[in-house]
Amino acid sequence: MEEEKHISPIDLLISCYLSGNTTPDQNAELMKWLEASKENSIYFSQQQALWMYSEKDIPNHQDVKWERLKYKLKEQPESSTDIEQNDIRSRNKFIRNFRFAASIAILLGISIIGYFILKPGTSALAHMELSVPYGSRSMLSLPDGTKLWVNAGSKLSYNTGFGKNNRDINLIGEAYFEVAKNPKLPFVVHAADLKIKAIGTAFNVKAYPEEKRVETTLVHGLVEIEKNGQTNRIYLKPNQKIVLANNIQENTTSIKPNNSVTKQGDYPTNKVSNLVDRLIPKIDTEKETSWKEGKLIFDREPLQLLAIKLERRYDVHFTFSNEKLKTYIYTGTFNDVSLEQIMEAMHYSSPIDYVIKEKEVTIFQKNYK
Amino acid sequence: MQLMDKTTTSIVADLKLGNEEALRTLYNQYNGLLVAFAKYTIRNPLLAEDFVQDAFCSLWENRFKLNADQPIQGYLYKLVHSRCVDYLRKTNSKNKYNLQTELKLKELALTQAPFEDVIVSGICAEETHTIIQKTIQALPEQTREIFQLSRYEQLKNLEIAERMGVSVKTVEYHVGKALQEFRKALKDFL
Repeated sequence: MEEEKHISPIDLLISCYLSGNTTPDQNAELMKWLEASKENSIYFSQQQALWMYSEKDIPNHQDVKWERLKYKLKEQPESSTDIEQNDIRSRNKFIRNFRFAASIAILLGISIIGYFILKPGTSALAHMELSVPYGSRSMLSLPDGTKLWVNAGSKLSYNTGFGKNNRDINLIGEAYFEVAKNPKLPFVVHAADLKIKAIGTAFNVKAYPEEKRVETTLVHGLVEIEKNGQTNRIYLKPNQKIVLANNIQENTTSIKPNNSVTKQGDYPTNKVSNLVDRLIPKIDTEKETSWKEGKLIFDREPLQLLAIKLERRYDVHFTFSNEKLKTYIYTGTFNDVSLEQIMEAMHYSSPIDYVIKEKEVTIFQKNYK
Repeated sequence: MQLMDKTTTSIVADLKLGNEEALRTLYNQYNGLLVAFAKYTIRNPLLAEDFVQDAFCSLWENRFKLNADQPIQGYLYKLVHSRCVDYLRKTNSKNKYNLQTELKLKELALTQAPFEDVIVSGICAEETHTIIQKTIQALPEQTREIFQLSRYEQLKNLEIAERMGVSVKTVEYHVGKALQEFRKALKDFL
């Protein structure tokens, strides 16, 4: 039969084996083939997985079976030896309050870690921390009703007193806040060496440690910025943006992967220093906060800075085949699209070529023949 | 693909917080596939279900030892895998010499690590299953019929050949063809 030519002998042997139709001799032959190389073994495992996935009823949301499992879990004695577990149990109430945020976190693919800091002389202080890894974004509500959007590669933390004794929140990275009104408790964002105080306000703070500057953009309301504990405060009005040097970036850690292109050394410092400590009286806030809708806006941006944004957004790593490419200026707007689509668009409109291999993106000079 | 891994990270974090819903999410997503794996391995449907339930219990008990950087699917597979291996070893010693069990053990020993890779690199179980089900529906009629008799009725190739009035070679071809089509449909994830 002519058709049979399309299936290799090994594929036939594997499918016969999986369907239970091999002779002992054939089994031995297959095992020998499996032992021959890791590639063979992986290939077989893939065929095996395909065979299993072809089961009729995967995945059924087996409620009855789940109930049975839940019952089994309850039967098990609690392992009281686990200190960490006890710690978490005793703060169950706090965790329950945090569940809402946690469940949103699952949906959005971010991680929440609760841990406890013991300060000598003070009682245990619970501390909540939230990390949004590269490649994701997240929106959540805080216990005081404040809504916030957290951008990729950012970390937020606050302690148990939040919403009761204070509304202090620590930020590394970028977030957009819609602060719930509470005249008695000011909402304070600590970012780098800045304290940004707000009452009933919507604003964006961008403080990635690798960027050597902190940007605050006010959409509406009023914010007060205090730098390094100094008394000379800056007030921002709606549609204003302020860019301040981030002096303490060395001791802050962002959650970016180690081998990212955004090493402090290769950041184009000259360009940035011009921007630092600058008040922009009228800014398009839409542009500043569009990241929360998944938009990427590049306005005359050097490729190197653009790459940093794409690294965060898509959890990839950029490499440039030559230094000159890093300074190429690009302008463009992208609505929620894939990295491939962005790279393709850039490829057509600028002298660059690219290769995406898993998480590695390499940028080349376009070859004009 | 990317999203999958991230979600897994937060599921681990949530398991550690004692969130039963996180376990349920995992259960809904992987129970079916794990049972299929266990059934395939030990050919005992009832025990297969037990092993998987047991694996989930063990996951819950040991949730504090989980590493968020490691794919939880892989961990679950290991739990089920080791239960199957233990079972096969036991039956093997009881029955003294069982060619089929011996063979299964050998297969398991040779495929353990890669099996993990396969599942981890893939999209979620539900999606994969849907893609394969669609592929089955799209198979040429004869291929589909033979594949279904082999996979779901668990008929031997010889029985299928007799029933369909074709040669055993033809049956072999069609089963192989179905698998080849699945591979094509999922080539981006393998």
